[in-house]
Formats: sequence, structure tokens, C-alpha cells
Amino acid sequence: MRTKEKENELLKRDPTIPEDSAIFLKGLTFSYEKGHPCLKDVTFDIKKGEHVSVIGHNGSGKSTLAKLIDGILAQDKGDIYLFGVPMTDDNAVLLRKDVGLVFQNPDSQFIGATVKDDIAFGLENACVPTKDMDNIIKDCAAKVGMLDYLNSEPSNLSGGQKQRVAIAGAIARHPKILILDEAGAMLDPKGKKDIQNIIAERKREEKDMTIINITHEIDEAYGADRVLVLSQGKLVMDDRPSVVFSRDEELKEMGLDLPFAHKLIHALNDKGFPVSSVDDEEELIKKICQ
Amino acid sequence: MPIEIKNIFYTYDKGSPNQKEALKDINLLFEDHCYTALIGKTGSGKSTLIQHLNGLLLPDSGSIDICGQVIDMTLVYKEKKGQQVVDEKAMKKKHKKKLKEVKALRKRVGLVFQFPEYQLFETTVLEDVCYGPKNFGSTAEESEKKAKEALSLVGIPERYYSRSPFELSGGEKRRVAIAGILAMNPDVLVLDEPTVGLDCRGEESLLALLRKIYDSGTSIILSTHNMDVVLKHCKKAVVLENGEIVSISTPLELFASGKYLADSAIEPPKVFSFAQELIKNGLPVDLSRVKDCDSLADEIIRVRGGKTA
Repeated sequence: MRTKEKENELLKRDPTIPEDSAIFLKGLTFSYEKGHPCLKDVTFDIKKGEHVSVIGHNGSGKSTLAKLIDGILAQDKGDIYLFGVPMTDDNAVLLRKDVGLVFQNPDSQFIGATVKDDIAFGLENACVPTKDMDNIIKDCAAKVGMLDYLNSEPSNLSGGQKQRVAIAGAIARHPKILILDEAGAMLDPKGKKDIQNIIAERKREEKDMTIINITHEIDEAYGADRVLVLSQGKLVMDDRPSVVFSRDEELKEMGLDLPFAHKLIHALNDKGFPVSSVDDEEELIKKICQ
Repeated sequence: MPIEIKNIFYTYDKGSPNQKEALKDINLLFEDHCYTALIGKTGSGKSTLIQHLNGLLLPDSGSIDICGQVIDMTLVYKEKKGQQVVDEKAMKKKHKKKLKEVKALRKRVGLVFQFPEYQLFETTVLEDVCYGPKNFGSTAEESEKKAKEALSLVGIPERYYSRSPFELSGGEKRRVAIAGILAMNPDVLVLDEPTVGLDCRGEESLLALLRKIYDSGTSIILSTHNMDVVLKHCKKAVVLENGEIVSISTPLELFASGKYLADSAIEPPKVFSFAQELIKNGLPVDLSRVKDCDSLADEIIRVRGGKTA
């Protein structure tokens, strides 16, 4: 009983944080090397059930952000609140249960000897009873389309399949927050699409799940509810995709790609062929062809 | 320097239950001063083929003529009980002999692996780039000269020379790794997925670098999933599927025909499909002039005769 009480004590909410907040970051600063902060004073509030994309150039601090939210790294300054609970050294392990994390490299996160073992690994760590495991594993494998591969070894799987298993492992414990750190970056176009479809389906089925997708793919970011843009460790934009991508000049300055329609309008305008901004590509085609 | 591949076959883990036929009867000619893309799904045989180009893998059978040096693994037969069978013993002997000969090849065909930054290992940037030429018998002085030339070509400034390569950013590391290959002055530069994992700016500057290397007379062969790169830069596109070549054409022909694309999970470049949409909607753009966003804009303006929207 005492441990339960202690747990409750550790997971006490801070009443000043809004009720509907899933991830609240306040003035977060982190540096790997003294004097060279890699995240500077980052503040944002991601609501429960939101689907947020994080974009930024290589080295802008995106992956560091993910590791801080999962409690893998500890910040130098500032606070992280998950569902209103401030993260400390003592409760990071407990809070982490709510976070599923998928990294970029399919080869460096496959631990089990088979697909089944790999998904089971996280469950074992969470002390899930063995009798329940089988069903959970099958359920998760089915969600990512890997049910037929439960006994396959990693060497016989493609990168995309390994990443799907990584997602299965991440969702096995029903995390309230799912973070994908460039999960599709090393995959071929089909692998990338599969991952996106799985995310979209999770989003449809579990409306409460908060999803953070760190990506280089502009089209992926376009489909999110909200886009955060990091540049040199600072949060420079935080808005709806249509608003963020209308600030093309700034994005270009930061070395980021633009959605195709925006790029083309830009090129046309630069060449003295004025085209006003449009909502979608169809409209642009009409405008150009009229 | 041309590379000619004739009838090569390659199987991984031959004889084991996991045996996988990775290349099946590949015939391919990379002309002198080519810029060729190898396209195909994961597991289609691109990387296996690439590793044959500098003798890192030797074919089970077939021959490869690399810049005049021939790796001939044409099967040797012997008579057994009145039947022609492959002489395994003679083949093994041949294999061993060839392995010794391929070292010279590696100097002429430089191979940049996927994520080459993982292969950096020396204590400073300059030493890392010197490693290749030193290994091929250049003196310390010569090696340093070659290394410095290569580093300046890839745009790594002098103040980086004494830094640890591990302190650089991802894009910079990749440049240093490529410099390490360029320092050997290869005639052909082969790259496996060179743009993966780079952000938009990193990708652009890497491609500008490859362009510069190509313009200086070096052949470029690369494997990629990035069709924008293929359309804009490559002269030829080779599509592999299940270890076989299914198409060799110009990028324009490949994307315009639409064939092979769906099977290989290839989507034509956005700019190309957009231009096709414009044609469907009555604007007769010339697809052969469309290479990227910028040239599409030029083409739209040309066709519209300056009449604005």
C-alpha cells in the first residue's frame, strides 16, 4: 500500500497546468556541451489528443526534444510536465510508461530474437503477466500488419518491417503519448507510406492518443493538427500547418523545404509571373491553365 | 571509364536455408562519364550490384569489365559421368585469385556506402581523409596534398582539419567521408543512397557537390529512392526488381511511361506529375524541359507567352 501512496505522491499534478495539457514544456534548456545549448528556452503546451509535427534542419534539436520528453535526457533548466505532473529524477520512470518512442534507425532498436520477443521485451519490463502477453502481442502486431511475421528473425525483415515492429512495441503498453523520431527517414517510399498509414489509423482509433511526429517530410507535417518549427535550438514557430507554411521566406531561410505548390508559386512570382497564394494544388492548376 | 557487366549472378548464403538470389543475369553498361541512377525497392538488389562495381563482392558467375580490368567469373565446367557440371574446385581457385587482383580496382572506383559518416574513425578530419591515399601507397606528403584538395572540393574549410570528425554535423561528416573517397582520385564515384537523412539544405549542397565532381569528368553512379534527384540530375535510370533489371531509360522516358513505377513503389517526382496535370488541363508544357520547380516555372511562362494568370 505504501508504494501506491508513494506513487501517488510522485505523480501529483501541478494545479497551475491546464487540465487538457498532455505535454507542457516551460523554459526548457539543454546542452550536451557546456556553453553550447542545443535547446534554448523552449516553451509549449501540447493538448491531449493533438497530432503535432516537429520540423527543423539537421541539428536543430528535434531528437533531443524527444529524448527529454521521454526522460532519457535530463534538462539543464526549465520544466517538463506530462499531464500536469512535473517530471523529476524520481518519477521519470513512472511517467515514461505513458510515452512510446520510435527512433529512426530500424537496426538499432530491434532487441528480440524474433518479432514476438521484440514486442514482448517492453511488456516484460513493465511486468505484464505472461498469460496476458500473447494476446497483447498479437493485437499490436495486427495493428501494424506484422501478424504473419511473429516468429521471423530481424535479419529476414526489411527496414520498414522492423520499424513497424518498433511501433508495435511502442504501442503495446497503450501509451498516452506516441513520439516518432523520423521513424520513416531510412525507409523506402513504400515503407514511409506504411508508417504514415499506421499513424493515421492509430489517430482514428485512439482519439485521446497524443502523437508527436518529428520529420523532414513536408507532406507529413502538412497533415498534422499543428506544426512546431525548431531552428538552432529555439522554437521559432508554433501554429496550424497552413499558417506555418505560408511563412515560406522564413522557412527557406532556415533551410527547410516548402510544400510543392508554395515552391512553384514562389518561382513564378520571382520570374515576374504573379500568382496569388492558393489553398490547394487543384486551385493552382486552374489558375495556371486559365 | 566505362564499366560493363555481363550475365552476372549473385546469391547470398549459398547452400544455406536462408539462401537468397540477389542478382539474376544482370547485363548493364555504364558508359564513360555517366550519371546513372539505380532505382528499386528495398531488397531489389541495388546495394548488391553496387558492391560488385569495385570488387567488394565477386559474382558467382558472369564477368565485369571495370575500366579495362576484367573480373571474369564465367563458369568453369568439367565432365562428370558424361555430363557437364560446374567445376567447383576450379571456381574457388579462380575466386581466390581474383580477390587479390581487385585491390587496384578500388582506387579507380570509389564507393561511398549508405551513412558513410559511420565509417569515420581517425582522430582528425585531415587524417581521416589521408587514410585512403596512404593506404594506396602515396607518401605522407602526397596524401596530405590530395586530402586537402578533396576537402576543399567538398567545401570543408581549413579550420576544420584538426578537429575530430565526430564533432561535425551530419551533413559535414558525410562530406568528409566523401572527401576520403575523392582523395583517391577515382574515375568513377559510386554512392549508395547519398541523400538519405539529410535535411533539404544538406541535400541541395551535396547534389551541387556531385554535380561539380561530375563536371570535372568523373562518372557518378548512385542508388536512390529520391526521384527528384533522378529527374534533375541523372542522365540514365536503371530500375531493378527482385534482382533483375526491368528497365533502362532516361529519367524522362521512365516517368512519362509510368510503367514499372507502381510495381517498384516508385512515385514520379511531384514536379513531373504536376506538369502532367497541367497538360491534362490544356497547358501544353514540354515535359523534357521540366527538371525541377524552377524549370517548370520557366516552362509555364514560356508556354503562356508571358500572359499572366
